[in-house]
Amino acid sequence: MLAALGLVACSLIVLTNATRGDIPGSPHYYVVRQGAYAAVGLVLAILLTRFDYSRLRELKYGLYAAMLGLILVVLALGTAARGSKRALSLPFFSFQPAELGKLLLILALSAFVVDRLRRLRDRDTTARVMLLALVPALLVMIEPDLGSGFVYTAIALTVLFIAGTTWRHFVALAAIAGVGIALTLVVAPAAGVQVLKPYQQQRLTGFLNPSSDPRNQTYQINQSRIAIGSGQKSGRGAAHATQTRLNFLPEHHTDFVFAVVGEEFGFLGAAVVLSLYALLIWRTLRILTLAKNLYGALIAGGIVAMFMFQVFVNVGMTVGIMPITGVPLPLMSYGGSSVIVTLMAIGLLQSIHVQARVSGRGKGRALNV
Amino acid sequence: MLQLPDDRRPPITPQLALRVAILGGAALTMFAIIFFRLWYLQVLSGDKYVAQAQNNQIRDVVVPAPRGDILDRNGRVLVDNRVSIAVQAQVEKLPPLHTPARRVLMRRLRVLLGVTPAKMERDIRQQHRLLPYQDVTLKQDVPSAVRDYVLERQNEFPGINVQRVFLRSYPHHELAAQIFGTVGQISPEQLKRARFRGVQQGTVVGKGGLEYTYDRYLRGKPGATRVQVDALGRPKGEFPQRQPLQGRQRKLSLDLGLEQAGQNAMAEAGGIPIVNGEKNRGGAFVALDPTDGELLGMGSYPSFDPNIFAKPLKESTFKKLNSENTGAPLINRAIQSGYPTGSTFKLITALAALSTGTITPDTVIDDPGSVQIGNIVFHNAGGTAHGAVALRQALQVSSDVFYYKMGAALDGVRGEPLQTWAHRLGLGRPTGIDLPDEISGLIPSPEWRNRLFRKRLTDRPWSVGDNVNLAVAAHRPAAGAARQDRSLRSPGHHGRAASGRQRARRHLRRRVRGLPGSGLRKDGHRAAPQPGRPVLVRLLRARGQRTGTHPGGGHGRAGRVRRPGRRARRPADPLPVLRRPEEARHRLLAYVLEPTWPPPPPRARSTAASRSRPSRPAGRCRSTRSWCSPPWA
Repeated sequence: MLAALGLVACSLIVLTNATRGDIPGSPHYYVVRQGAYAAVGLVLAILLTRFDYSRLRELKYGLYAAMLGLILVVLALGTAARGSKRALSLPFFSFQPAELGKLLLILALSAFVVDRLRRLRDRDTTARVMLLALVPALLVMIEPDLGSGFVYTAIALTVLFIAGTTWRHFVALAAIAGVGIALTLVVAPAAGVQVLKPYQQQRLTGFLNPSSDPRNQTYQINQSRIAIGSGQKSGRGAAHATQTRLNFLPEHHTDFVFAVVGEEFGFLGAAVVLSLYALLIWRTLRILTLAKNLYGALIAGGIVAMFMFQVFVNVGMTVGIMPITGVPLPLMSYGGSSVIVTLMAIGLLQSIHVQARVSGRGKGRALNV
Repeated sequence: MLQLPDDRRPPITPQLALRVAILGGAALTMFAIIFFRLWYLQVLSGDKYVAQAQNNQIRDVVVPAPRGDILDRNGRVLVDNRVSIAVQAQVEKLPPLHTPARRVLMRRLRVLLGVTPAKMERDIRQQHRLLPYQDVTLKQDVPSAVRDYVLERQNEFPGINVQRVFLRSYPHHELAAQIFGTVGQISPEQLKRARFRGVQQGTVVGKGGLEYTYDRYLRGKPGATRVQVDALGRPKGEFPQRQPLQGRQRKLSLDLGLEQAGQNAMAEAGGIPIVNGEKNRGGAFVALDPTDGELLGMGSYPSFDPNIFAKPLKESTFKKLNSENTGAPLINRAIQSGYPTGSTFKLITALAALSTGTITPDTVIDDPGSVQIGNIVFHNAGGTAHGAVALRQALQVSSDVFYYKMGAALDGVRGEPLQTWAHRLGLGRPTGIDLPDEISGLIPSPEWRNRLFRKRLTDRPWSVGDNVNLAVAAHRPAAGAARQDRSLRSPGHHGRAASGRQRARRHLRRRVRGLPGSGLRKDGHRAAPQPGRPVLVRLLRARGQRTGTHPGGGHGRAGRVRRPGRRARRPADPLPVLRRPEEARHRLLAYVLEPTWPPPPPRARSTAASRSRPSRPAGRCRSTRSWCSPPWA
């Protein structure tokens, strides 16, 4: 677990280092800051490791309220960057509550599900859990931050899934989701109501047909694919990564950082990074099974969902098989909130692991999968 | 540790195990998909993307090549280049229409260039429609300060760039403007033609005149510079790939001095072109060397200053250049208008008459000053009676009656000897001069006249009067625009007959500089020896010795030019003598002057036709050089 964490943090430093050249005069601007965030995150993670996560269960209402409150504050006071209000400007960095919200939601939802464990088969429970997740999801979508909204939904579904909600409920949810998508994409525009902004809609559908409009909507996907493809087997090296260095690749330090890996280090580098994520997810799943109580398992499940969703959507986006949404690649993308929250999540997992070992010391290793 | 009662850790249930397995399976699938995608992108199709990444960052910038100079036969510059700075717009990189960014850009440009946004937008629209993918020139000839301003503020001028362009420069302004022709960016239609194979879009090519004919040599090779750019198109580095190669020099057979003399004479005779004024007569002149077909001078009046084509032309200016009211200066009258050959045609008539046996060189015919053929009386010029003349005297005094009678006698003879001989001597077909758009002239024939009549384009079919007029090369009146021949050919057939040599193709070129073995055709072409040589040479000797001007008569518009030195023995020789100390060769010169423009309506010409002598273009020449001797005719 710690090994995975260390490796990911390490690759992050290497990569950000290679990416720099954007801010004239201070070539290490991003690296230094990313390093500082990682350090803060690590400290928080270590603190969380020493802390019994189970106590957070009592605070579920407080956590949930904190999450909603932060999101609302952003909507009210946030600073706009490129048309979206996502962050609160703090003295040191701009803080994105939607990121922290992911963790808070996992904690709150898991607690809620544990409380209603007896009535898990009720339609009522499923509906309430989904509702609890959809409220913040919709709020962040208003920011607009589509990606985080989807992450929230994915977290809720996974928590329910791990808790053991019946299949019928998932089928019903899928049906409702299908109708909802149809409504937003087809019916609502036809009726004159624009739920999604045109650029969002085009991003969601543009990846299906990347050459349709190479100068505008699908520019990012094309450039990203060119970057990754031109890396070939072993990469072009930092000095010759023209896509990155000459700014053809947009957002190369945040959303498209994986394309940078692909261009500079090729298939090998990308494979190493992916393997690290696979290791991380495998370890998380293992902790899920080891957890001393259901709450821990659910938290681990939520975190797995968060990782999996973000990795898959982000990497999928850079290789052109997923739509472009502003989902960061955990630990790799530049961004204080994301890095700190991800490290805190790992700290939490560690805590679950530690607690499981503490309580399972007498029982031996019977719970291994 | 606080443990809530219902949160005891249940032993891992089969259900949980299953669901975790599903989750793990999902993760595995996900990674598999991404791995395969990566494998596909990076390993299988990596080459393609490497190429695309290269394309992304490299822009090939074409560096235009200056066109080759055009020189006269002595190496004096007739056409060269000057460097100019042009502000151009790359249409696809401009901000979209009707956006604030576009308006801001246009405002900035207005301040900088002093052109209104409306005009710039119109230019962009029009030029882009005509030449898509082509940079639109917003303003030509801007000062270098403007260039620096734009280059230093590329961010403020998206889609605007500054190009160094070579403009054609004509130091002698109106001199021989029609011969040189104009240049312009290659058009989409031209791009498809074999003539322009390998020419890149945006290249400046010849659009007319010599610039067109010798475009291949004058064009040069554009250079290329590779520029590494970032995503915003800002240059990051330059790698010159190829230096532009200036086009080759074209040396012409034209003589600048002769050309100037001719141009001045035309201006003097034609007068200043004032619309509806008195002295606005169009005209043309040609001077050539009959032995090899080299053109020493050629001009068309009125002329224009081709320097105006360097900048985008106003439509009104262009209309004026083509309008009849201003005499259509763009037309090269020397090869694109038809004029009667005048009395020089009498040689052909004589040859036709001799060849058919209608007369012998000694047949004597009475010239009482006029003759009635059919119901029309044809008069000598000035009404002079020459009395009994044989062929030799008839040529010397230019007796019209003699040739009227020849024309009448040759009408209806099998094989149309008059027309056939005219054709054999090169009339009624292109001379093959190395200029585009030459017209071929016309020899009136029964077949031609009757065809027009059937189409009701003329009032009567062919009659003997037509042949009579042709015999002295008078106007073909009823046909309106149809004229017998044109000035260029006139000295041609005369000279050809005079030299008794093979027909030489008219040409302007001399050699292409710096081009050994260019594959140019040899001067002239080796045709069969000129038909009718012995007789003609004898005849010409007769005409040449004391030729065709006598009071009221001779009017040789094609003059015979003799060797220097001969003139002293013949002080009365009225023909121009071009004395070139360095070259003792024959020279021929022809000129023609039109009636005033706007041209008279066709009816006026019909009345002229009914007169015995057609109205004849007249002209005079004033010498500006010692070797251009004063007036003939």
